[in-house]
Amino acid sequence: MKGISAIDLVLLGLTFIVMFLAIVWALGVAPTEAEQGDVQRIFYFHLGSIWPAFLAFFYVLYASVRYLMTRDMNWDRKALASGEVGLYFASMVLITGPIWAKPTWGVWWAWDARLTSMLVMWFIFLGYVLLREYIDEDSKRARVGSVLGIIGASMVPFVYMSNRWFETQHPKPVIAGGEDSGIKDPQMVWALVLALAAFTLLYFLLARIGAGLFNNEGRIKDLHARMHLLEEER
Amino acid sequence: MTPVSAVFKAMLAKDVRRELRSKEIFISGFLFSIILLCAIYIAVTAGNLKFEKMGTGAIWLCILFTGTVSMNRIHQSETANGCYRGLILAPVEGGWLYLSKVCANLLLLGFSATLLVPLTALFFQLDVWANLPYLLASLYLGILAFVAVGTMVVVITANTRMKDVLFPLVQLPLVVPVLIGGVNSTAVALEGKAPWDWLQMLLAMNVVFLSLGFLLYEFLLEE
Repeated sequence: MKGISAIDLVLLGLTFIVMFLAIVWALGVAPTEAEQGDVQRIFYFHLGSIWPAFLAFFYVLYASVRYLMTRDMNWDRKALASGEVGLYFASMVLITGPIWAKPTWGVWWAWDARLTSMLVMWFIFLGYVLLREYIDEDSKRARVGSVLGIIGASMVPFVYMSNRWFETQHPKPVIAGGEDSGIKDPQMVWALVLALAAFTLLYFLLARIGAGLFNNEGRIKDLHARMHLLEEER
Repeated sequence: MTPVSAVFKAMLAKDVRRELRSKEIFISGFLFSIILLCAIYIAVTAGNLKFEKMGTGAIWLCILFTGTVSMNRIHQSETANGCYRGLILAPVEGGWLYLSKVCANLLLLGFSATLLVPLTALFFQLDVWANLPYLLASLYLGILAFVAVGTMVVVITANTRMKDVLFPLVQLPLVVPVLIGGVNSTAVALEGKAPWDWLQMLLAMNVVFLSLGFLLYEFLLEE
């Protein structure tokens, strides 16, 4: 039996410390942005969650390929855990975005390239996670899920590229300057770096816990199956 | 004849022959497209927008929805009478079966789209002669990319309990880049210009999706 591993404990401690520092820097130390005011502070957490969402997606690709090559269920569980955590991070980007956009742009949602890409990515993630809920057989779920994981992840560059191109063909809406304009102050840079580090650590921690959880679930299922066999033999 | 090309041809011939005999998917899909064109016209004019501007969008919405419905139906007919097991037992790599399926779907959807273009031109007052070769290239490259993804996804979702709902839910987000490329390419072609950038993008997507499908289809053909 495995308890909580030393790596998990270290990761948990690190995440806790860095997240605490990120919150202190983002909400307290970093100066208030001149034009946007305090609402700009949400940007640290917003950008902080985009990066792990991407990381999660590429890990899904990697782990899915590894699963198809080795047929080791551990890889599939890692891919699924990463996909689910990625979905949470993508959701966070989509929630914090409009909260920032309403006071800054005046609208909750604009069909800007970045917003559209993120929404589409969220749907791809959702499809990947949802698909598994509707397949009963374990090996089939892993096999089919891995194929979808690979297709979904390879679509991400196109989602980004097509949206960028799409944007260049049309005049920009009310969006101008925006998020990049505030990052000149060194304390703001620190807040951003800390937020990025904190969310990356959080991603690793959650993905590890998730994979562990799925592993335990798999083990319990195996034990149940074995118990059934024993009872039948009696 | 090598087994690969023999199986490829037999598969393609089977799909085409079945559709030529029953015509059910083509007829229902095409009628669905016409109803959609009416719905799009009503929806657009209700918002006081010029319906002439909606032509490109209308074509692509029809391809998207009709394609989704038709491909689901095509795959369902494949699962009847143990056809699917026959596919699994075919003496070639899964990739070739995938390519033949893509070709069959492309033929069906491409033919529907070819008939749809004059109809859309009539309803939405499009000038299809402005740049016909580029218009057709945009449509067919877009449909090929759509079909390349769909042929995979339909098999993936067919393994689930909720296949009718899950197929569009998984397929449509995946083809958003194809839709963006196709719509813009078609719009530029209808203005009489050459949409090289968008065609290149569609071509790149086709190369990636077809290669992925060729490599991964094998894994879907297990029981």
